[in-house]
Amino acid sequence: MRPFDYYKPKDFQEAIALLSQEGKKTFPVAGATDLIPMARDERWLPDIVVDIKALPGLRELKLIDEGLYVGAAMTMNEIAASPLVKSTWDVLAQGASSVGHNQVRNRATVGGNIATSSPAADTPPSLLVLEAIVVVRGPEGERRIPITEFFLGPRRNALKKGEIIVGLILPTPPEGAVGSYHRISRRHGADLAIVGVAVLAYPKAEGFGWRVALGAVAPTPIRVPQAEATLSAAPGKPDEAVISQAIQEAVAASRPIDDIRATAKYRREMIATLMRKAIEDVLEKL
Amino acid sequence: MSKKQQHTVDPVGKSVPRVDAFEKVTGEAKYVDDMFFGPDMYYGKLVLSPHAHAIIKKVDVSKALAYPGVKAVVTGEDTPYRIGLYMQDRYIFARDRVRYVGEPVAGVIAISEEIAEAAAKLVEVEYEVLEPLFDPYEAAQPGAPLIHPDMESYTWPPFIFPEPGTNVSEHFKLRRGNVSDEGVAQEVWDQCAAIVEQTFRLPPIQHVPIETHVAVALWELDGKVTLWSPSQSPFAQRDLIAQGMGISHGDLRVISPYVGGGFGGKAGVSIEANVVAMARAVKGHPVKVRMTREEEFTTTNVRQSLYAHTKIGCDAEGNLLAMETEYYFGGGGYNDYGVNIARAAGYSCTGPYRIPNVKGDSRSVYTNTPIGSAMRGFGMPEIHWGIEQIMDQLAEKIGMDPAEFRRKNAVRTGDTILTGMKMTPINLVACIDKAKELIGWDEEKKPSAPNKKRGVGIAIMWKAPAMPPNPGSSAIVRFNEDATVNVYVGGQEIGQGAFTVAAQMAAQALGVPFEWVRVSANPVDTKYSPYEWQTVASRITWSMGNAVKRAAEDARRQIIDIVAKYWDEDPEDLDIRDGVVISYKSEREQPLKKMVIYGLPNENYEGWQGGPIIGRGKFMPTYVTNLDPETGQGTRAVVHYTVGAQAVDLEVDTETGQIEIIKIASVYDVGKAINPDLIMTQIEGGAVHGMSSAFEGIFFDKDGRPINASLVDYKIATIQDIPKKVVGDYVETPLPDGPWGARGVGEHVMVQTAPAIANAIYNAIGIRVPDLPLSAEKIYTAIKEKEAKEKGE
Repeated sequence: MRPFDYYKPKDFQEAIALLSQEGKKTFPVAGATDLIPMARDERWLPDIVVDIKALPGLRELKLIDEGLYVGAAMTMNEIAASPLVKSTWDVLAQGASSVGHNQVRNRATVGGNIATSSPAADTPPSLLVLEAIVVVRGPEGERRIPITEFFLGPRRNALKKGEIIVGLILPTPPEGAVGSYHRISRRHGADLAIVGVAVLAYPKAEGFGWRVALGAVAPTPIRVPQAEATLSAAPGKPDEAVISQAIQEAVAASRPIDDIRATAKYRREMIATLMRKAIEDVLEKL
Repeated sequence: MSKKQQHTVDPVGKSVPRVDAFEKVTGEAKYVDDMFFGPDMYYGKLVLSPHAHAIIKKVDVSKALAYPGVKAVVTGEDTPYRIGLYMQDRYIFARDRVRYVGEPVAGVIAISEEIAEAAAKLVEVEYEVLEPLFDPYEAAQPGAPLIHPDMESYTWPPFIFPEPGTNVSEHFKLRRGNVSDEGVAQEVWDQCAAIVEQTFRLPPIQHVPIETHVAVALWELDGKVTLWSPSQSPFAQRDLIAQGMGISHGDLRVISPYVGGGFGGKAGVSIEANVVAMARAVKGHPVKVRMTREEEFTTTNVRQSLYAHTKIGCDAEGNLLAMETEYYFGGGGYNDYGVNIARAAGYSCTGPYRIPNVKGDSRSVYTNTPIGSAMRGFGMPEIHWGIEQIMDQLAEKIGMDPAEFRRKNAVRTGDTILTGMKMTPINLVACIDKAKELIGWDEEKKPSAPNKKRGVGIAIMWKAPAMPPNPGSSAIVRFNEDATVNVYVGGQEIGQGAFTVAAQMAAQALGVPFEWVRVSANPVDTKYSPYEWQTVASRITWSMGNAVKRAAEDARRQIIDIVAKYWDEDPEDLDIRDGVVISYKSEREQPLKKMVIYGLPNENYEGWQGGPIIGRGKFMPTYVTNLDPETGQGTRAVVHYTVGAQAVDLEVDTETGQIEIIKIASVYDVGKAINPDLIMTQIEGGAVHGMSSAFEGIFFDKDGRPINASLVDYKIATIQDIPKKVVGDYVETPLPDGPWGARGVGEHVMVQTAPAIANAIYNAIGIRVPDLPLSAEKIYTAIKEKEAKEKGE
């Protein structure tokens, strides 16, 4: 592992200045569960690592006017166990509790999970169906990025040099919304998702509104608008024909690859299996 | 629970707590990487081959040597020695060519690990890449490019039969009954009502010990050498390195503290010889080398891959009549240890069955993959994978319950088995019956959901300790003033409970409470510990146990002789019970305290009797015979066999192909349960290990680079994957030459788990997957294919 400089600043000005240095590879870090293995393998070559856990507000989890504010340095286990998260944003708690294993979940943070931007990450599908907003601070001040515009490719995202994810705003979903996250992996413990599916539905004037997001089956986690439209167009609870059509549309929207964990073919089949399970789950709770 | 409050008389057969439990639970136990070696220590990093098969044209170490903080760089030029336990085929650092990705080519020694790692990247090696071979079957074919063109110049023991001019490093032939080199006679096959012939493949897997390989070596200025390594075989390491590098055994000292997981991976020599060679370059400085997890997968060793093609037939009543089998083990770039795995698979090639006509050929084959070496089961998990699935299919074909089919054909005490040897005492039928009972074989089991299918499966096994004919054990028993006892052994505690069992046996044979015994074997130190061949082959309870028992009996005899003289009685009337010498005749008593050191005074102190008591014991099997190289026949192929049965209850999720193991029930014939709790922990751990192995594999890209050599994508079972119920039991058919009848059970407990799972999957969904691992995707794909086929018909 190549040596790097580590800082733990207490204010944003210093943190952003450190991260903005020209000619240096700089990394903000919270739980470091992604950074340390990547730096150890020299796949990432940081010059400067800035620990953001001491920055104000990053460890907050609170209700705000728009919904729920989740500080970027909140850990997976904190999110998974939070009664506030579970009350209205339970699909995120489900995603957070699927990450890695218990020790990893004690360190890994929600900000880090999206900053790494792995296509197979477990919280993005839930954040996508919750239409989360990523709050970012950088040299040019604060800006908000809708999660749907955040992921740009495998390990690529909309963050600019010097920017830090400070938190996520989870808008309050429509009244009566329920969500479900399903994933499949080779082992029950400490394994990456082969496929992850998050589904959220809520009652609307006629029938239900549906949101569906997929993980590990495209260069980024994705929403599947056509499948959502099909489900949402059903006059009441979608019947078998509608569900089958939506599943087909979701599979068609995916772009999975072959790798050591599974083939693209199996991934497509599992989108269907898991999406059906998640829809059935949601229908039961609606 | 304080040790002082416990007082266990006659501990053999009792579940006394482990002697190492406290220090391991508290974290006090010291492992090699916990030890301090002072400010003079240097650190080493190995330079590894990026090619699976290549000629080394040139090694340039100048840039690495010039790097600040680097003290020396060692290459193959410095180590013109071949080493190997059986087949001496391996240079310590590659010289002329490299034979797998991850093979050590050079070693950089520096003042810090970071500097060594940075400088290792500066060693420039020029390679001429050759065609690599990965598949053992293809590599064994005539005309395949040779991985070891100079094989005939190597040395090997007389019971190994390599075929120079090919890539076959060992070819074991088994011919019994109405057979020829072409196979079992047609007239025998004609009598068969059912025949199953199938090919099976297993990928290499890894031991994945918590503690990766680590070694520290110090080459002193006067030529004495010390090696600290967590080893299953400190004495074998000393022997191989001493022989290989021309060091006197008396000047090479191997110190081996606790081993953080062995499973065979820390048997023999791996990186330790490299570290000794590196220490020679910086005399007076200890040199430490630690394997990363990634290096552990490529540069230490793995369980070999296997290609098996097997054909077995039985008559209409279910009597097995004939078997032909070909095993090709993918031995990796060097088969120094692996040749004996192919041999063991050859002389046990039928599995635990009575089959009168057998033609078996078992080969280890050089391949350009990591070194295949010992792993829990030593060839047996690999061959039972196919055998046990064929047995199920035969039973089905003739309409017999698979457990009953096994009962009928299971090997029995006194049978003349495939090598011509008389089967040592066992009761496999009792194991089958108990396993059936534990799993609820005849009960109807309902799946937990409509998308799930439930099934049960059974598999049986045998395994003999696979070793040279004469591996020895020795032990010393030494008393202290308060009559506590130190037991010195050279066997290693690798988690199996060897030290606890040694203490139990010593206490039992001496007649003192268990709590009085201390085991002086941490570390095992070849300078002070009595000789032990290796902690492998599930041989320690049996072989080292015999030595401990004899050492304790020797000490006991000395004590009784002194007291008999003191009392003027016949030693035959005396006994030692609960730490007191008693006379059954005079009913006199003499506590052991003090007298075991100071002796006893004569009347009126007219002189003294006795003195410090030290007992010694040894054990070495003397009766194993050679086998005929053309037929594998001989009087006594092995010392004994351990047998067992395992049954699995599981569910298959037909929508994903995922398998949920509900219960594993295991029953083994242990001869005598010296410590029932320790046997149950072996049984539980083995079942989980066996289950895990069914879902694992190392895979390589087209150039031979492993694509999952890390725990991200090499997935061992986690605590969340352990079945809800892991149960077991044992049978006790005493082994005539075992201590209190005991035989080993450490490896056996994972041998047949994978085929038991496969048989349960078949029972659930009617699908057989001949190749490991059993990935959910494979199962799912097979379910879909079967559904499509059924729809088509």
